[in-house]
Amino acid sequence: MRLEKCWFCSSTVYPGHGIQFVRNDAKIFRFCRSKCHKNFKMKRNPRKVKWTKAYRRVHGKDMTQDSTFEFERKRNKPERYDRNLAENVLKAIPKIDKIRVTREERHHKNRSLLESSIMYIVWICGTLVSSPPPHEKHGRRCFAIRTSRRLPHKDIRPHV
Amino acid sequence: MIQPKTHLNVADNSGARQLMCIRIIGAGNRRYASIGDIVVAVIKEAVPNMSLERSEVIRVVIVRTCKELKRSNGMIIQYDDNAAVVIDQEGNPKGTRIFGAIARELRQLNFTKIVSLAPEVL
Repeated sequence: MRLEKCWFCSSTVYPGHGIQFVRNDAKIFRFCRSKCHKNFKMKRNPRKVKWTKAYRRVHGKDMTQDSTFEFERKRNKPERYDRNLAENVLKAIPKIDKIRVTREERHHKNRSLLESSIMYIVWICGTLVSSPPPHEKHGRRCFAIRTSRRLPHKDIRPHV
Repeated sequence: MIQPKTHLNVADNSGARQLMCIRIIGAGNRRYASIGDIVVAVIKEAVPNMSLERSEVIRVVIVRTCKELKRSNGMIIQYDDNAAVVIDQEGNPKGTRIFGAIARELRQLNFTKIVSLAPEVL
């Protein structure tokens, strides 16, 4: 039994799920559900479809390189069954998952900090190189300034 | 889901290129053939100067279908085309080479020679 990755969205395909498509050059495309299969038949490129892992990696939304990914690489050499090895691996899997999740969360936090700091800089620069004041057509005189004080009533105003 | 009038590609080097299914071998009024079924076909297109000629009626076994093949372990496999291999009365392939991927079901159905010649068994 093998847990495969969906070719389109990169989620795991469990046994009994999904469809495998074999192309004439014997390349196998595995899909986790008909949504991915239909997108593939529409000839969509997963790197351009927003909800796929491929898009997220390409656009820096998810981390691409990490030592925790090395554990999940496909190895083509079968391992001889060893009880101790199997036990250690089963114990290690949740630990590695937890580390990977914390690192991904850190990546997301850094990403949102970076994006918001960029937005802040753009805002500041935007206000320094400000757009013309709203009533420009009358020239500078009509630069409306709002004051908190109201002009006094005309009967009380001093005679000029 | 191969039925009479279905065009099949030929997955070996027997000399035929395109076949048209005429009849499905098996019980009575069988409607569709799938991977592993033997089918009577007529040659629609052949490679020139080989033993098989156009409009010859032969028997073939189906090795790839566009319709999904469901396995008992839950795996569903779909190929890119409908293809068949030309066989004789005993079930031995007429050609010497097989092209493309072959389904594993053929081994259970005693087409061992085809499976051994296949470049990829999936």
